[in-house]
Amino acid sequence: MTKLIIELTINGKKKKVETTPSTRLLDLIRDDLHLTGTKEGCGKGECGACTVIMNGELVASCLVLAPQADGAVITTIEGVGDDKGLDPVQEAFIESGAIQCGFCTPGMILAAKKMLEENLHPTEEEIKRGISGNLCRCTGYQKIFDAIRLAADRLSSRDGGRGEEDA
Amino acid sequence: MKFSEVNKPVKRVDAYEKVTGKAKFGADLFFPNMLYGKALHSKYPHAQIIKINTEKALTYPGVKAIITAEDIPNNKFGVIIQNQQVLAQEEVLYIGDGIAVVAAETKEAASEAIKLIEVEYKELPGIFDPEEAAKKDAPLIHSELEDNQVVHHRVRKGDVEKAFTQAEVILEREYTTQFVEHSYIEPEAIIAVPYEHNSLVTIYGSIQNPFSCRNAVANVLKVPLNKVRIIQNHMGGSFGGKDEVISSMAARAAVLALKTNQPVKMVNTREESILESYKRHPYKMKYKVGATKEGKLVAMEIKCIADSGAYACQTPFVTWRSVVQATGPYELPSVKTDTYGYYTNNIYTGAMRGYGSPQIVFAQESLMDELADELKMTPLELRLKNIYHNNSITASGQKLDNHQVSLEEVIAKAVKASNYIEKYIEYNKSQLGDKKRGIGMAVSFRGCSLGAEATDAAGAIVAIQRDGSILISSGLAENGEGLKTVFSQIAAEELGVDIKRINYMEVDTSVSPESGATVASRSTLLGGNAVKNAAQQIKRTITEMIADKFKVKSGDLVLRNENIYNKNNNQKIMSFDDAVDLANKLGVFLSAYGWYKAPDISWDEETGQGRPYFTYVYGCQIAEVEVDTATGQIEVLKMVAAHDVGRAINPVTLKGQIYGGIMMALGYGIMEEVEIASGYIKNTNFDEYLIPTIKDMPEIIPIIVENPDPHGPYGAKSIGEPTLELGAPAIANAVAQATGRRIRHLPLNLERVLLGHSLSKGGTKNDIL
Amino acid sequence: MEESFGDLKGCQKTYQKTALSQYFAPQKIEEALEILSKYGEEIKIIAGGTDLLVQYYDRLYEINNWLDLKNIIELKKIRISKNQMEIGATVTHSQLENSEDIKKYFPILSQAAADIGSPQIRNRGTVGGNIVNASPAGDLLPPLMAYDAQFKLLSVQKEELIPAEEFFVGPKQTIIKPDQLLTQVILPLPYEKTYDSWIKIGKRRALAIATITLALVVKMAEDNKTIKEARACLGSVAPTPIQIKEIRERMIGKNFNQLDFNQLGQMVEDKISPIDDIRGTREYRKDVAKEIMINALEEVYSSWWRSYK
Repeated sequence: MTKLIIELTINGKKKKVETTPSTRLLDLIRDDLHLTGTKEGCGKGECGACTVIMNGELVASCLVLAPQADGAVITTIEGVGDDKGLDPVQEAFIESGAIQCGFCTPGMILAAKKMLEENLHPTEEEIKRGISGNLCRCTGYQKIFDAIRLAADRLSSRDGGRGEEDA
Repeated sequence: MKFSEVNKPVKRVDAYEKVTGKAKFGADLFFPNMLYGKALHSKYPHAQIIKINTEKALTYPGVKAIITAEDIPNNKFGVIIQNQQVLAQEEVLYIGDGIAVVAAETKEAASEAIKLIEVEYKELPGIFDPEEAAKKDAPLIHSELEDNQVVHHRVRKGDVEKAFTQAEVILEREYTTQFVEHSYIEPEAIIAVPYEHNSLVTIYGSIQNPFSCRNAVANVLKVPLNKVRIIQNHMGGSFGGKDEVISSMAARAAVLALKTNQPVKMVNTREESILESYKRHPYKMKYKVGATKEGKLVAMEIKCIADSGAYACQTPFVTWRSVVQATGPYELPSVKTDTYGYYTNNIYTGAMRGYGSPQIVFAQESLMDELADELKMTPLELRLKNIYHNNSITASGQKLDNHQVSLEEVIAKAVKASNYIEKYIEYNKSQLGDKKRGIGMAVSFRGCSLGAEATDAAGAIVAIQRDGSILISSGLAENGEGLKTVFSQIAAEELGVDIKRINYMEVDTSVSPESGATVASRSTLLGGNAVKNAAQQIKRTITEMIADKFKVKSGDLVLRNENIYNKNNNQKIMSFDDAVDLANKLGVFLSAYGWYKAPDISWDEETGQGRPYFTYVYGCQIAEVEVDTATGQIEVLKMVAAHDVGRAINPVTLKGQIYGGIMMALGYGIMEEVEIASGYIKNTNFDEYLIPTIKDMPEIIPIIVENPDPHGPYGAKSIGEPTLELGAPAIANAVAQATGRRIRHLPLNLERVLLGHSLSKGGTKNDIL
Repeated sequence: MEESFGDLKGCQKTYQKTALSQYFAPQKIEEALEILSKYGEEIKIIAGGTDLLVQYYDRLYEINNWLDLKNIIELKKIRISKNQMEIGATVTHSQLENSEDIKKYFPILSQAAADIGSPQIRNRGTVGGNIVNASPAGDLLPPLMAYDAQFKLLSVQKEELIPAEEFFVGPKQTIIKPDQLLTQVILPLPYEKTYDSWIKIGKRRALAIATITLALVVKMAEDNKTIKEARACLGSVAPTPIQIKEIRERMIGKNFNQLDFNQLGQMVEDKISPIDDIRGTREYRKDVAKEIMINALEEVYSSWWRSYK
């Protein structure tokens, strides 16, 4: 089988990985890099469990070929938060009780984080749209919604209204 | 009553690992020398297997072993009736039956090898309708049986025939429900590791019921239970769905692991999951109800037929819950109910959240609205005239005298919060435009725990470590609902310590006490009592130890706020840590095995009379919808859910159950259906089997009602399943009001709402665009 | 492959395929065309991958050669050139959704893009992929057809411009040849007053493949009274996206008040012959096609009325 070497920056670290043309980014992340926080739920981009942020965009890693990610900057759930503590979105998920089985949680947090990076004052509709690609069967979404709202409120007050001035 | 840890919105104890991606689910485990297992599934829903040739597949590079039914020591298993094949022996009985399983060094090799297995079939005619299966001359699905009936349950109360002659209004209606997929987001995953520690085989994975899995694997391997060890991992949802399908997967992986002497990992794709895993039972239900003109119910006659698919699985117990609850929570002097399960060549059906109740609640609550229409009274009035109160006698002859029957209370609270009365009047007026609104309600009673299905007891271990930290192990398994948190809260409450001291261990069948299954919304009630019992034993040990040393009465000592106090003068005697130190020095044993056995119940299978459950919960949900009569699209605007839970151990996790149950019910009500044509499943992934997204979420108002039950820990009862059984009928009733047209079949999809009927969808899988 | 279970010949072919696997990610269109001319049918073109990987998700290793368009910057551009809008083939749905120019000139193309799948799909899926994949349910196709789009196909030998209506020949079938690359979608800029409507009916509110879609574009003559052009295009009602030409004939030259919306709706219902599939039945689709046509006409009419008065 043809082998390729690709280079990518994952959670801030540069990695060189040997892969094949037909390996999915999801498999590379899970099987080769053992970052198992990224989950597989359907393999068809329908459930969002494999969501990662690639080059600043939310993507389903099951629908990306590993070589397509050559040179990319990728954030998985393992890259959210740091040594000092959890990301405000993670904190809000814990506080709002937005976690049940936890399988959709990594993808949900990444989708929520990405949305809030772009929009600190999301409307109800914008929050829903932001995570409309992530299925959850346990929570009925309500507490995930509440968590995102909580994170947005905190982030925007921390932001001290700067966002508004910039605009 | 004042609590320090329970009845509070304590944060989940497993939250940190879940938000950071550190939580390991079955598929996240890797072992040295691990092989990948993959199953070849049947090509036909019903066929004779003439020959299986694995020679070519075995030569594929990387393939280590292939097993067929021949390699399985004992090929049949099942929790109730042992007739499910681990791998198909002579015949395939449904489209998801396994034929062979490959173990290979890579996933690709396993996939390729599967394609090289040659199977010669003789296709056989199948039975795909349980009513066909019930016919006298129907071919047998299981040739060793006399007929295709899995089970028949009865309830007989009063003289129904006579009662109907006295009824002033009689309605007869038929309702049907569909196959539904659990749709846990994590597909099934199993890893079998041979000869790890002292076990013959250790199995990790997404296992809802570690003990039933152990029973199945040991039984299949023909080895004693203590040779098989099951360790549960974080589980990505189950909803009743990761039981028999997981047992079969675990048994296959175990046989391969022992054959190759290497760990074998099997992870289903979503397609494999939907193709292979059991579904919610579709029901055909005939209801006949008689009432007086004033709206007092006098008789009900019910016949329900459940499609069990290829195997018995949980059908005997699912249909039993249906027979007990089929009338709904209404006083009826005369009842005749029959529920049946039949084998067919459809995919088999089993446990799914609700367990035989969502079907009958849909029927009975639709029926109540239809009857109210007939009697020209409001749905609310009709219900209030007939619902159970304290000391009511159920269809099974059970007097409801040992707990608060709070139906009227939950209805009143839901009606108020939804503004039901005003909206019902408003939406009854003619509405302009394509979009019409409606409001609908549904109520239910639900027996807690297993009832007379099976022995009902659970155990737990609470062990104080040398440093005062605490380990808890229970035989019931976290399914994602928050069981670990709730059990930790109970132990902390009893021991008067901070919950941070507690570490809740995953179920390990070699350590945890066997407690039956995490099913029937029984965990808080049964398992919670077991944890409480263990903690109380330790509390007694501690107080007796201190009483002995300080010459006080042990009964005067209380544990709270991390200390031990004398309750007479509120004087602190020592800290919890000091007490643990003291116990270490004195050699006092600070661990306990807690046990709780449910109160006695009774059941007469011939008459359906007795005390089927020792207590019940009550709920009312009200749905407000907007229907686009031009396109058939339904928007659920608002759901109000009032549930009496006895006591909310954790109001946040409890609300999570309500929200989640409502969304699952919304899916059940308006969009979900596993479409099966002549045994073939047409929608095998989430692009075609649609479950609700956040955009489908209505405004949801949960109302927690607390009437503590004498049997529950701190009065707590059940919540997981009751939340799901009311949504679909409430929505159906709201849609009926909005459109003026009654839909008696689930789901209320675009076709049914627009055209009033769902056409049989032609074509095969290949025609799908 | 399903049909060749147990067929040894089939499997040996697979071995060879895997062994010779190649992955190309050229930076120039010309290089891509060279590769295509060399490999033809033996190579899969991948843009966003949101269709291809779904189709092949558990058997990707069966694909031997890949041509990845991700490095060709030229294909990612949206630009206005003279009287036309040029949309590069690998422009994503998110780009279409958010482009100010698209929103301004081709609003329902932007809306249709916004209605696709989920953020994850919209960020990767491309206009070219949606076109070449040629699903009868492809969300962008009815708006493209309604806006009179042309597709630019390049090969080493020649350049072709194909009108959308001639491009699709069946479900997942187009006239594109193995050595051709779809590089651009070209839309004439509307200089008339244009009113349009996009309706998508799916079984749920997000992540839904369409049960039926309708794009209606109506252009007015200079008086803003007479209809100069009217195109009603539907998805998921035929093997390909289609335009109901009779609507055009019936509407051109008329004023809105000369039109019977009900009749036009009926015309749409009569002219389509959808099939039963998992997302909807023939009967439902016919019935609802009429209703959404009426709704679309009403929407177009009321936006015209607002601008007229």
